[in-house]
Amino acid sequence: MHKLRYTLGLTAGLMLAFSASAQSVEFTKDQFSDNKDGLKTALKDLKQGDEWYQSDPPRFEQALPHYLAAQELNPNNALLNFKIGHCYLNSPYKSKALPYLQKAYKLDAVVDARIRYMIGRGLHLNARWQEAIAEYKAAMPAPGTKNSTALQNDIQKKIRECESGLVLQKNATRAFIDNVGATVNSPFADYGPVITADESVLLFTSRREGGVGDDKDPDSGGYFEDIWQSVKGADGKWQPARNLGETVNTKGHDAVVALAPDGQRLITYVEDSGGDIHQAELQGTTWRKPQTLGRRVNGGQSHEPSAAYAPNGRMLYFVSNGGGEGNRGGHDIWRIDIEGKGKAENLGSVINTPYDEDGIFVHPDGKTIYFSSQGHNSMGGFDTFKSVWQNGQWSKPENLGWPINTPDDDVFFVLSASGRHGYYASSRDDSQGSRDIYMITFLGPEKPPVLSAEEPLLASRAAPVRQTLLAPAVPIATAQVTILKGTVTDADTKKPIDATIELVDNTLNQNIATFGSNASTGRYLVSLPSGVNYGIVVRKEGYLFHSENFDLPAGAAFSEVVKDIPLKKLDVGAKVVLNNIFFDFDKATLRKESTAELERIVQLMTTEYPSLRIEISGHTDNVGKAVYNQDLSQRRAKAVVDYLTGKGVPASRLTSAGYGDTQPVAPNTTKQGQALNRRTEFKVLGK
Amino acid sequence: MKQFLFLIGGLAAGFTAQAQTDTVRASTLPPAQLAEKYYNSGVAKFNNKSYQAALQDFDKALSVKKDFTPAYYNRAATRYELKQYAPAVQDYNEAIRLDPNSFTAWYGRAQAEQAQGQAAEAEKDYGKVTELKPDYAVAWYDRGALRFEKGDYQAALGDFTQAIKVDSKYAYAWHDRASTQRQLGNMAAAINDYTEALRHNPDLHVALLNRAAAKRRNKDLQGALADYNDYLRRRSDDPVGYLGRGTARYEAKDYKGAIEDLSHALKLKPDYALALNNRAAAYLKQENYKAAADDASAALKINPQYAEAYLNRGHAREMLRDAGGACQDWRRAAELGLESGTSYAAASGCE
Repeated sequence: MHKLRYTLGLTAGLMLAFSASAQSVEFTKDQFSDNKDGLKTALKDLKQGDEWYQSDPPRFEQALPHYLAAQELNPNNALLNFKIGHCYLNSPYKSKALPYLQKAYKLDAVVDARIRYMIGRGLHLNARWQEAIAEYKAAMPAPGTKNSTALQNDIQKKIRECESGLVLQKNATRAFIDNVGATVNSPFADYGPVITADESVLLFTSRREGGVGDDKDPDSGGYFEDIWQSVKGADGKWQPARNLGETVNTKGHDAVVALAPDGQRLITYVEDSGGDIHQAELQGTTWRKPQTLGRRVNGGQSHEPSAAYAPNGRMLYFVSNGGGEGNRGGHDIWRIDIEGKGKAENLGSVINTPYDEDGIFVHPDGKTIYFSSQGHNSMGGFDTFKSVWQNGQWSKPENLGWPINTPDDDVFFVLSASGRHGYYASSRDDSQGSRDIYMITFLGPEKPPVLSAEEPLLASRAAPVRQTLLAPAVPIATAQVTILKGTVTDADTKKPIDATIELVDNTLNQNIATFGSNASTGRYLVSLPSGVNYGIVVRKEGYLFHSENFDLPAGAAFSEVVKDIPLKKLDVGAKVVLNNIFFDFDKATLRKESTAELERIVQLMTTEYPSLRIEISGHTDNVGKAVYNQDLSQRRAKAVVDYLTGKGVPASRLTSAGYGDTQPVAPNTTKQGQALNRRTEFKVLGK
Repeated sequence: MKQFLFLIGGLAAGFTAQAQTDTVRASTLPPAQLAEKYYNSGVAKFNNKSYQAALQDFDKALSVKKDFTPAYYNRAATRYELKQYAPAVQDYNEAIRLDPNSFTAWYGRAQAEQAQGQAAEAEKDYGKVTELKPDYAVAWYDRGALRFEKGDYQAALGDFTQAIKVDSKYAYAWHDRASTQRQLGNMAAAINDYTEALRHNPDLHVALLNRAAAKRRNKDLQGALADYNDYLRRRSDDPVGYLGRGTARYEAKDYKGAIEDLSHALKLKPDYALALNNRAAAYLKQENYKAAADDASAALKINPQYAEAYLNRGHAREMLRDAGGACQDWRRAAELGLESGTSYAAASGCE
């Protein structure tokens, strides 16, 4: 197939002589006196290796097995290590060169004038970007050195590639790169994959044995290229590859380049006239013999290694190093209306660089191209780029990035219609041998993981504060009571009386309750909650009513009072203390708490006993002067009489009398006795 | 006093004197006083957190005195404590009917409504409280919290500001205003308010946690980590703190540190699905896809509706070459509300 120029480029003129070194071990009898046969074999291998190594062009891959055999006897020869490294740099296994080159340098720092540069290459191809840059800089020839310009330019470009590699590897493209497997790949070089849009058919170029010619190219030593095909089975796996046969393949090199979008035309590369593009058409299920695309595409001796149809099947994109003045340098990408008559058009400087472009592929969307280039921001050799036709121009080519691209050549990339999978050839560790075809699964930009947060944004939810507002307790008058109990009897006969007992709130002048004493026992029991000035009136028809006062202020403690009440017959001369008549202190002014008692007397005089005549008398204790006490008692008695007359009781039936302290009912020696003596009495004068 | 009922001991033949006396004592308590006594007993029991007994006392008080407003109010409060929210609202209704100008009844009803999920009614009642008693900062705060929860951040901001105006030392109001500022994207203002909350109440640890998160969102990862560290010094047993710091470390690309924190959170709370999910994310960053998938699966076992965990497990499965499983997970994440799941599935060629 079209040959990639695996440029070491600067290998010509390498010194082949072994340089003397204190560390380097020479292949001499002195060194291997105990293994003469081994030395003999090693020297033979060295000679055979050198023959391949020094041939024109050099046959590095053929030289390498001989050098490695010699190396087994003597691993410490600087020049041999250098040559092995050099061979590896020009093989599909470039990354293996580095340890040999480093060892060569260690054994003999001047083993070859280019040793630092080549160590730089080894580091570069192993993606050890920073170290490679350092070595390249060390290899830079001094200004003014003879023929130094080309080397300087080359080293500067390599340094730029390493700098690109640093950036691109840091922002790696997310993709899986999988070997398509042993049913497709062989121990020989397999490359140039072409797929149908639906990924059901894979066409590729292989230099494996078993081709149409099944012979080796005398120039390279490898088998001639043939076009092979694999079909994807129902299980999604590629079926064993088969050779496309003699119609398409010849005994020489035959390589697949592209399939037309309709699948009816196969573009191949044929090594004639410098390397031209041919096209085979499908007839039924058989490809016809490829025919050249003619002079509009293939120049005289120019090299056209790659081509691809646009989806319309007319516009052909192709690579050529021809084109005269329109060429930007090396191989460029061109396009031409294959059915028209115009000349091919260079894609311009946005796409084409002074370096080589190759491996053109047009995506089925018709506006996106993929191609390989040694220019732009390649990280080394050919890298694959993408550009989109938008707004009448090509976008700046975008490097597909690490790890799709590597420091080595990454070319002939094709993409499935879905855009999900790409196919290309690469030399990787999991190769079946030499270069293999790989499928790239594009994973797209990183799918960012999603984190969850638990942030209690409301303090009252995170650390609740209970704020239940409760109405306070209410003040309660103490429900302590005074139990008043006793027996109501006839004062004379001592027999029980079923009397009526009235309970009056003197302050409010309201009857609270009325009840009676037990008819058979005369017993009664009254509960008096504190906080009230009680008037208690015991009545029985035919008897003079009995009046008691219990002033129980709020909070008064529980007590039990036994009060036997002897009722007196309403006879002339009978008298009773009016315990519920109250006066202001030291005055004859009736207090309002007296009203209920006074009204009872009014009731008695006007309704119950309309002819009753009574005396109202006032009494005092013995505190103070007797005259004063007499006067005060008189005035108080009169105040009662005045009230009664004011309520309609005829004055003729009323008498008032003031007795002062002359008729005590208890000793004045105690406060209680004095209190009993301060009283108002009611006495029946006539009925 | 008219209602006082006096019984006469010994009226009924055959009763002993002693028995008659007892009858009198028991039956002569004044009815109005009885209500108050039950009421006060209820208050005392409430204060002792004997809510069921308190409820019975308030019931008795109201059976004696039908228009006893404070008893309705306190019975409502008791029912609130017993989580009997609907009856509590009924009692508050009665208390409000009897005394429409009592802000406490409106406030109590708002709390009960809120507790039973009637946010709109509660918001309205809190509003009434702010009218009746504008200097009652708590009402402004509570309404603000409700408005925050329904996403009306501008209104919430106004309420929290008013609460702070009424009570400038109201740490909760400062805190929640900070959270509101955060929701409005005003990270600097949020950080300031969280700081004020901490100044007024240094024990309001949650403010430290949230300030850390605000700093994290404000790209001040160092400040955030300092706050998380401070928080974890105070609350070393709180898995939420480790979750937060783990996230900050993740954002600082300290995935190893993030995994340590999230593992610590899981040690404290083994069924902490969020920590499992976030650790899965950190494992993804470390390209430890198996561990990521395992953690996400564990999170999903705890919470089968966990969209984020599906999404993360999808990512892990993709990298584990389980394309079918990844597609299934992304689609499930989309079904659960994470729309990105759909685009991931589409971009990955899921059929």
